[in-house]
Amino acid sequence: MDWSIAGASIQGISHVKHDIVCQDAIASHRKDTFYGIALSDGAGSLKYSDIGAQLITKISLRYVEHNYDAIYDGTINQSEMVDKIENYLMKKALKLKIKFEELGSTLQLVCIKDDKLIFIHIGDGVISYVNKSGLVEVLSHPMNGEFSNQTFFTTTKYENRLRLGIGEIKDAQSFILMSDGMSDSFYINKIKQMHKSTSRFAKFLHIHGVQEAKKFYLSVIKEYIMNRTGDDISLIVIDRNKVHSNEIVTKSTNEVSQQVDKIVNFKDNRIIKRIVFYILGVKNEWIKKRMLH
Amino acid sequence: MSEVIDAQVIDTNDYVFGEQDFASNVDRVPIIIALDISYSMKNKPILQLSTAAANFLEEVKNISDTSKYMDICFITYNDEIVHDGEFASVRECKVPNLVASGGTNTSKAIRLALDKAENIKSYYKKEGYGYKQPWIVHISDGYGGEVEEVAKEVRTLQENDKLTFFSIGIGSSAPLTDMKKFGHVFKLEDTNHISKAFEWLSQSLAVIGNSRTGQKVNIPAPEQLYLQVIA
Repeated sequence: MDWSIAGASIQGISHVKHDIVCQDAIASHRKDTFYGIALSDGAGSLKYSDIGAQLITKISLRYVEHNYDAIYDGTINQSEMVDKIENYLMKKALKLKIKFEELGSTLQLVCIKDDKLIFIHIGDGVISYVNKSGLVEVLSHPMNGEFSNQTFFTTTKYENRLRLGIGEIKDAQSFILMSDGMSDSFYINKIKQMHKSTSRFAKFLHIHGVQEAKKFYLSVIKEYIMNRTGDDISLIVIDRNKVHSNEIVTKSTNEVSQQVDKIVNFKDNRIIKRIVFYILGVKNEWIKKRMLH
Repeated sequence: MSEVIDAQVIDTNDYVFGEQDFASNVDRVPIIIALDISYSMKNKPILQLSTAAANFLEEVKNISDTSKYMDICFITYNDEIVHDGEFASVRECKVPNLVASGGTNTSKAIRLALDKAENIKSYYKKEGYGYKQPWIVHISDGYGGEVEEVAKEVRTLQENDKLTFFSIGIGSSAPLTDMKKFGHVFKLEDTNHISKAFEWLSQSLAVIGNSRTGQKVNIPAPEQLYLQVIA
């Protein structure tokens, strides 16, 4: 199964005006059958959050690539994974003589290996996917604080804030990561869904390829999105080039989303299907107490 | 092997975005205005308060897209709650009839305002609206009774960024000791400048309303509007 990856990240107008570097970072990593994309949005209030964003995307991609099977089958649990990633980040901070707390950023990560999917989400921004019918669905909603201008960051006790999902690719055709600067224009808060126009980013990549897609993303951001926000703007898309014949016919168009909904609504439904899609290594009690409030 | 998207007709217009192709996300801003209409506010202050509040509503109507994000309600009180208003959009909101009478129970009014703030937040969450911190604007001549408990709650909410609270004390002889328990007080020496307080409020709301999520904003300095900040 081959995948193409394209993305764009642009410094927001407000940051240009105030001479603040772009605090968003996007990254991708490929090794053998592993494909990963990551996006991070540095906390505006922290001095070195741009460096934190760059580090966390690379560190987390490499960590998941190295430990994919163990994460997928639950040998490495969520707590252990968080500790390891945090540890790597701390070491980098030490090396750079920067306080760890000043590296705070959000994180979105989607990693694919064969037909398996792992995603990680901390903070705001949205992870969505486009299915084979071209319909876009939310895979992971923004994890905001109580108010819309508050979110969680990698350095703030994130074992409670990290959403980890494991599942099968099924009929997902593309996955799209957006920072809040981008998702504010495509995620409809009221109904908690993506605007259908989001699928254009995946469609363009699928048809025109990586280089043209990068140009397209930049042009859309510059022409439309920069007029709508002062924030940094980033997206990164991974698109499946080909589909295996046995995956085309039978799958429900919405299975991944339904599976996520079961997690999200767990508090109400008391349903979780660990076999198909589950939060790694996390006992039900933990979920009840910490994750889904 | 089969190309998934080959089955779809690709329209080149798909790559041209219009306004309809973007999410329209507007954060709601709940504003609760608590007005002291006790007897000590009689004559000129109450008349000026009424006019200024009406002008305020007219003014905020002119702020771009205001009706999309503001929900305003008025509370008036003396020793009882006289008017317990519902939240309404700027266009639908009306200033209640203000008649000065009775004593003053500030605690009861602010307690009601806090309950309203909590209720509207629950409503926003239930309906899936994004929202900014509730604003409570309290205008009084300063005679208010026992407020320790509710003032402590207000301060805690402000410290936790869960509430924006403005106290505006009017009149040169206004005793502001109790109002200061809620935090900063903007003292309006001359009652002729009540309208300035509302002007400042509408300007501040314009700045907030036009801000994007996460963006830091600078609210106009109240000193420029005849408001003296009392720490």
